[in-house]
Amino acid sequence: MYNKKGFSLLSFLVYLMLFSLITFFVCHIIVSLVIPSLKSVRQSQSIMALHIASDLFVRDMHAGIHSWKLITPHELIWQADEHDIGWSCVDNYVKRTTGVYKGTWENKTTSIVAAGVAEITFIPEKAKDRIVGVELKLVSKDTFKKPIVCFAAIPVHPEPVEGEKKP
Amino acid sequence: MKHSKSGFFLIELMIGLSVSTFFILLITHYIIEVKVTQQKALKCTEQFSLTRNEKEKNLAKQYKDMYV
Repeated sequence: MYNKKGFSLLSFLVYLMLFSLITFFVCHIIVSLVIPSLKSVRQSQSIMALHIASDLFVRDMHAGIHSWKLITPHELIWQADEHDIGWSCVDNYVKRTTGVYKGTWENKTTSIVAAGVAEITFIPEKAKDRIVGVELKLVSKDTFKKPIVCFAAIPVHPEPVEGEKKP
Repeated sequence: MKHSKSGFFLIELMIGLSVSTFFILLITHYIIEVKVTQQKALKCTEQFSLTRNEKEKNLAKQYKDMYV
């Protein structure tokens, strides 16, 4: 099968055909299976991270709210047992800030709860000016069409913030 | 493996290619397996999230009734 001074044309063609087939096969597998799988894994991880963030939000809501300090569609700040807690989205990161809030944050500690978030929306549910629950909507950068919606009931209902009171 | 003095036999090449293909298939299999497992986990998490949302909405409804 082997020529001492090179390949025969037939051997060369057989090798070339085998090489081409294997290369085509490998490229086909990579394009049709591996790349979509890796993309899907990345999307799943992103969605899972948003679910984890929503879990943390529900836990914060249940931990006890003494008073509301700021309620906007994209930022929420309230006074908890020991310090103030705020949730917001800055530069595609969901941030949870703890510290003292008096118009601005003092002695704050910021933690990044989730990354790759395009938008965060808080929708308070009210009953006679009291907020009895908050809906959190997280839109991932990767999966725009499938936002994560999470609802957290609030066991203790403090007075609404001044700006939220109805005249 | 017995090598020829100045090159590979065709059978050696074939075995090499087969082994490479086998490894590629194995890696692909594991990547797809990871994807499937992760999708199952995501489905479970989403179900859990939906159930929790329902529970929380019911709780909020009870709180609402307290004020109405």
